[in-house]
Amino acid sequence: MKVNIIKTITFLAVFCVLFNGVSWFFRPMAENCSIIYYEAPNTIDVLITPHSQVFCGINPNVLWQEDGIAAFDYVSSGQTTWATYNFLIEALKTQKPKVVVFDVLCLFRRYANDYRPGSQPIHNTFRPSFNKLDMIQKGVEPKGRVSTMVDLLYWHTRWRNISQNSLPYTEQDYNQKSFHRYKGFYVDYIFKVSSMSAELNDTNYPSTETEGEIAEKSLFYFFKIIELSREKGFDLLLVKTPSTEPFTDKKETEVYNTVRRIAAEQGLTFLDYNDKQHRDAMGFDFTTDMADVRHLNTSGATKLTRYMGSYLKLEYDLPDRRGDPKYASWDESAEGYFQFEALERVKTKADLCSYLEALEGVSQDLIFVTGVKEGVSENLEFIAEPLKQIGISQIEPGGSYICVYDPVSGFRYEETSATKKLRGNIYKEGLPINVEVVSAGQSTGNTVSIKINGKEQTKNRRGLNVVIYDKKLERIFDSFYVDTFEDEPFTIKR
Amino acid sequence: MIFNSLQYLAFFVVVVLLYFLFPFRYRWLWLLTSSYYFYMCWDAKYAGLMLLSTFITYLSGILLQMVNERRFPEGKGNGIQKQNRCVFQKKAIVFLSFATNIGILIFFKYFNFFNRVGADLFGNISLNWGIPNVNVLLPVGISFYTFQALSYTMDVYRGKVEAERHFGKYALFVSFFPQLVAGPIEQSSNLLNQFNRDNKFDYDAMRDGLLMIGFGLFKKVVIADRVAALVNTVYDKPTLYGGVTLSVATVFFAVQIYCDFSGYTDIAIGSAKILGYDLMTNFNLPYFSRSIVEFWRRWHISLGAWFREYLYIPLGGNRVKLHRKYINLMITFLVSGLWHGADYTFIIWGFLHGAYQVIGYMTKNIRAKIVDLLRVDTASFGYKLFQTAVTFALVCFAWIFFRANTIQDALYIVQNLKWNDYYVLFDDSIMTSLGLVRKEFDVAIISICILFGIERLTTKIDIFKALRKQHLVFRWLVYFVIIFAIIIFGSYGREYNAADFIYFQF
Repeated sequence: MKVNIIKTITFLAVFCVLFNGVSWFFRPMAENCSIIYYEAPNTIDVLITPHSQVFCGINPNVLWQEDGIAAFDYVSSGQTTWATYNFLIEALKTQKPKVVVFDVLCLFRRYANDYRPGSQPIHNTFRPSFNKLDMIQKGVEPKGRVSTMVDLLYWHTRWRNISQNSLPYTEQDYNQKSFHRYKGFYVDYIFKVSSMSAELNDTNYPSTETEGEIAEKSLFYFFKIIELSREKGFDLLLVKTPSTEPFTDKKETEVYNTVRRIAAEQGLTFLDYNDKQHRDAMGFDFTTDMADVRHLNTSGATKLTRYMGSYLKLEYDLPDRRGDPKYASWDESAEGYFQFEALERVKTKADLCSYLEALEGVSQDLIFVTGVKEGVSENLEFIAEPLKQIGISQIEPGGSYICVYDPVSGFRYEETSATKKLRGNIYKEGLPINVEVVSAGQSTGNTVSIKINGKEQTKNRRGLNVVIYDKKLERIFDSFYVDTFEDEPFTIKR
Repeated sequence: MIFNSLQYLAFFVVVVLLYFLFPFRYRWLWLLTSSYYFYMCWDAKYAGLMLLSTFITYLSGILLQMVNERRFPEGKGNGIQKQNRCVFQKKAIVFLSFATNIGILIFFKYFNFFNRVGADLFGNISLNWGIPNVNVLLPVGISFYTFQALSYTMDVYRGKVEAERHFGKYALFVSFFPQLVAGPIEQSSNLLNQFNRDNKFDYDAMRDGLLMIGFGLFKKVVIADRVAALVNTVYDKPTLYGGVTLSVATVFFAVQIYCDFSGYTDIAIGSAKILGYDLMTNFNLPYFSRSIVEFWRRWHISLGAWFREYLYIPLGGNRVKLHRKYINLMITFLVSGLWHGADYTFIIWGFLHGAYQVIGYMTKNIRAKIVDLLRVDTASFGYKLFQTAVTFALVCFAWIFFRANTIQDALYIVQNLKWNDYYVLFDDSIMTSLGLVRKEFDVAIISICILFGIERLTTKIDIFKALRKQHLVFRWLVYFVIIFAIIIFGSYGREYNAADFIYFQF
């Protein structure tokens, strides 16, 4: 009997260890709500929350660069007021922000399901704690609560799309791989432009004094957050980032009237950046600054953040942290972000000449892989000099061509032929990727293939096919092709 | 509370712990309470129905026992007259027990269907039927516990068992939670007496029981619920698909229903085993059968045994003229079809299985002559494989009617089984566009191969015994592989709706 008890206990212990190990593989790349754990304790002065409008609209890197404010977008998509309360509790375990910036859009939103925490299943990004249990109780329907508490039960279906790149972060690779590595700022929308009507620039909200109703659960946790701010000693700044919907939806405007009244009653500041006065002051333009009806792009975010930064600096007496070694991660983030932005800006160029021109000096971390299908025209010689930047020195027109170029290490593998199909399998020491390139001109097979770490990256189109790999961010930066025979030569296509 | 839920896991752990902590004389009460709680988790109000059925059959047992023991007034007359009176009394008791129980079953399960049949018949001759449907939900497991309770009445009538005087233990026999909602339909001679046994905690039984549960869960959540996505996609809109796709979906349904039902049975048997009770085997590699007769000896064995014992044999069984035997067979399978569901599709399914067997008997001599003429070695692997394949094809053909949502769908599928969409064999549309992604399809196929491999192995060796002989490291490795296969590849959680077992609806 004793032996059986020992065996059972040992079995359960081994099971727990294995369970924990397997769980690690299944936890997804986290939303930024979990990466706050990796921030040095008590460094964040301004915590910005709760949903995507702020992680697209308020850029902590701009706040750092302009004013030396240590800010962080602590956000998840579509986050609710009740989830935000738990987010703040979680953040306050390691941070002591002086100001919490709170976008009030979540008070207008009505959720069909009161259990929803936001657009994403975010419960599992919390470390085990009573706060997590509380959030699950509030945010998950009763029958799903147990499986939500156990990561593996919750994320087990990820075996269908698990890969090397989808493994969860460790503290070490957080800065490198994290989707929200730039202090929570979301980078996918930065160069997306949805041009709104220019008339909006001269318009203000529909005039109304009516107060709209805030959903009961949202209101309850809004007051809990206000209470928390007093208890923990941080200032709560209510904001509304610019968006076009309140101009057409009167109900939203009415809810903000209610927010305005509550703010006045509670002695809080509410800055509605949709107000024409604010928009004019920051130079906001609906035709260029929106990524979609509710989210700003980098142009809009920069304008809003600069404007808001001045206010924060003035009103809250926030220290300039630049130069403080404890805040080196903000320097790294800002440097990385602006380099990322500059690189992404290159991708907005429409033709190869301006693309190569914009690329010059932007990053030292790129590897260029080129392959030709069918051949290139002779007029490519006109840009022979700029092409050297991506390693191309001589292409046989109408023939096969492959090139792999790493400017930093000086590694260059280049081959061109008018008579045969070329194949290069490049696994060079020091080159962080495995490259397989196949190129065939018109008479030798008429195809191109560029595989990076075994994965095809080209669309096999006529002309110059280029794949650019970013060593620093471990990602394919760009993949495009240029058909030099077409009427508009050198137009970049993806 | 379904077996593949954390709720059942918690429930079962509590039941087992307290069961072994309770003194023997109170265990029946604990199990009865747990069983009723288990049942009431679905719909509390129908527990009364089960209690009523239990009471009627319990009373019938007591009365039959009294007649058997001549404790009823025998009245006047000679010995033969008294004997006849006795037989009459017993038959009357059995009739009343059957009439009330079957009456309840018909009302809850078949009233609306018979109403529909009546309306259809009257509609054909342009008359108004005019009887409204009743608005009741089908009580979970009613067909199972009713049959189990009635088998007790018959067993007492036949003198196979003595009437159980302890109402609580009898109620436990009817409601024992592991097999309550989807069988196996236990005979009283097997299960009832086990409740008088003082079971001690047995480590080996727990380990084997857990392994059975694990195996059952693997069948249910890794295979059945996964392939269900493909089956549902095709069967919900069969007119969108060609013959190959319809055939593949039907074969997948054959796998789904087997894994679903035998998976449930494995969990039931494993759960009972941990508590110290032995439930009967319900499946024995049915798809490896070489004839339909053999299939029914291997598929849902407890139901087959019930129909044989309490319907086919009372009708005369085999000991009648040939044409009568065929009629008996057809009646048995038509009733079996109706037992499975109140719809024309189930009746046709039952009819097909009856017809397969009748035709099988009728052509037995001709088939034997053909085999002789062609000098086929009936012991050869090829011939056995041929028989197995033909049997499987016939079973699958019948499954079309079992699974189709309507009789029209079933007929459409049957009419479109020609492989005009053969091209889907050469692309990956079956694997990727029928409700499964490619990786899920691959996992389903690999799991099915593993399952049938292991099940085939069990015919040659006692897998529990063989595993017990292995080194601890290997044994644990096997356990961990099963556990993590279920956790990782199981179809449960936020992306799936926890699916009831198919047989719960019967």
